[in-house]
Amino acid sequence: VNSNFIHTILVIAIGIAIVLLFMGALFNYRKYAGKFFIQIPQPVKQYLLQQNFYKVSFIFAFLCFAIWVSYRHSGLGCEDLDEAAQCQCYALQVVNKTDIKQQLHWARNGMKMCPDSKFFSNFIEKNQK
Amino acid sequence: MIGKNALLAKYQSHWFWGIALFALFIELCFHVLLPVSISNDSYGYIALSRDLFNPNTSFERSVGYPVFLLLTGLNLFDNLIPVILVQAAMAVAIPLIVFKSLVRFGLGYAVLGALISCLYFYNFVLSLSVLTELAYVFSIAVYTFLLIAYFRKMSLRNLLLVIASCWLIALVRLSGSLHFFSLLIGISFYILAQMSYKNWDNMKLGLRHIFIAIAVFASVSVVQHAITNRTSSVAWPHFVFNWVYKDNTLDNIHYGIIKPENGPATQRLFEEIERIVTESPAAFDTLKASGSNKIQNIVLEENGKYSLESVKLLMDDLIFNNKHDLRSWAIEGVLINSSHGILGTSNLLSKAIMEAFINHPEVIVLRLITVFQSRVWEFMANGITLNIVSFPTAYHHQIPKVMNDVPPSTLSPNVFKQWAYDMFDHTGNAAVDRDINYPNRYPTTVAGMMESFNSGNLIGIGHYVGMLGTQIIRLCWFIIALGILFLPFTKHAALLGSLLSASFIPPVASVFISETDPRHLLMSSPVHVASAIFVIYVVVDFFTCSNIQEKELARE
Repeated sequence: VNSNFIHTILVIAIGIAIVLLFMGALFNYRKYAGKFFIQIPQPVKQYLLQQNFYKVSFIFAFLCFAIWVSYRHSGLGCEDLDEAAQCQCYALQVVNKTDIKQQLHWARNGMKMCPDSKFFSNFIEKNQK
Repeated sequence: MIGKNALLAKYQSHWFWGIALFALFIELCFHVLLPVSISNDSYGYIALSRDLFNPNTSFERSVGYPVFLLLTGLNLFDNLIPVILVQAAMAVAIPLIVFKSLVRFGLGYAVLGALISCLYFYNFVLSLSVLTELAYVFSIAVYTFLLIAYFRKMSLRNLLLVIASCWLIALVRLSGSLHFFSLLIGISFYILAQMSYKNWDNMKLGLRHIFIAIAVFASVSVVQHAITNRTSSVAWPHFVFNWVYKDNTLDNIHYGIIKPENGPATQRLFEEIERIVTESPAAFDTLKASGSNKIQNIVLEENGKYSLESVKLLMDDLIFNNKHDLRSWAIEGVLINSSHGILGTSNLLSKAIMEAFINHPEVIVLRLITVFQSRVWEFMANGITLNIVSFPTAYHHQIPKVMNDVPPSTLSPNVFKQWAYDMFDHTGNAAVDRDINYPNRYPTTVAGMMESFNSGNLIGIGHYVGMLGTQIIRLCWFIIALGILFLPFTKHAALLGSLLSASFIPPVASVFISETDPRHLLMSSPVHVASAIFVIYVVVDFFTCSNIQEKELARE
């Protein structure tokens, strides 16, 4: 089975555990250890308790979901991609940079990954002078 | 002491947010199973979001989704995630809108409708794609809510809101304006019902509303036509010309009936093409490339133009060898790039198409039969099958290979990275899983799904699970068909007629107009679910009322 799948399931399990702990703390379910791990300020707790349990759970779960989706896709580099996509990634970096030094840097990296590509070789040849 | 109404409201609120939590859980599952996707059609929307006011960019597409991409910062932040998160929120909101629409008839109906919407996984799968599909389904959900609200309380405000929601749908996909007719049908049923009850005041209200609706809709249409060419009346020949022009020797969805003998409009179309290819060798080359083998060897004259004999050969090929898949698009492109532009081309093609239909009216009937037999009935009786169009999850062959000295595709670097990373993250480690011809990309059996599972190809698993969930809409279609039988006998004919026609006319018309594209049948799910549940309500109401009447008669 895909190792990323197991990793994702683990992250989701931790996320659900956090939600349960939060709920435990909110509703004083001592056996779920909420009392020991999370201390919610009394005014916040009062406000949340006035709301619907499912509504609070949903808002909290959606926030966790948004953080997880954003985290998964943040700070990616071309080297994080599979080989098949790296060439295109370097090529896009070359096209989108305005500084010629940076463009050449990315073109050289692209050249290493994709020696057969005329795109990188032509760019380096044209701009190295 | 909590009052009965307060208790009911509390129950409603618990069910509402409980269903929201359930829908979010399903959305999460599909985020685990499927990657965020940029597929073939996405590029047109992304390009349009960068060049919104250029009438030549993706002219056949509406601006609603590109504006959505713009507002969610796809270009500004070079980030795909806000788009995907907002779409996730929309996918979760669809069952909730269905709930709010149906709760007026009872909590049980609302819960049933919302749960069916949750189990209809198509919406959750499409929430991961940069395509109009989810925004379209969401706008149909809003329309359904407002339509039901209008027929429960026929106020001017509610009427204007329904018309606004029709335009919201049309903003996302041009064919969306067809939903307006369902509103008119509903009001017409209302007028007829009030006439039969001899309730003249209510009949006048219905007449007033129908006139206001037509006046408002027509005024907005006139303004829209004055501002932009991006209208359904300009775009429809783009979709219809292909299947009317293309020869039917390969399949039964094409008819090959655009012939000069149809009449003056078609003659003019071919004369214009002949004039353009005589004057422009580039236009000649475009049409030659999509032609038969007979004309592939034609070469330029010494004067840099094609001879009149070559032009005649090409024209004969265009008229008599119209089998090539892409040729209709090539003809359209050549006309648009000439002095005709988008509007002139649409005019030329639409007149030729209408002439073809007048000469071959049987084609319309044949086409309708094909749509019903090979799409509606096939899906309803034998199950919904999925393919690259209905579940357009991006795949590896869509990553461009940077081998030549050509500029890379239109994606910005970070968006590309997010897309490509997610795609590889979901397809496991086996190289064979990444082959374009990988057989288990759309598994239809448990064994096929298990093969995907064993090699860690989550896309195969996601498609299989998505396909299973999508089947639930067939139950709604069956109930909707039953609902037609009850239409003459119910006191809710206005709303029922409106919902049934909204379930039927726009999706079937869209399949009819396009290349019998079956995904149009899958995109109207909120109105399908609401209609099916309302049919159940009508049936229950019918028999309960009958029982009461019988009991009263017996008592007398």
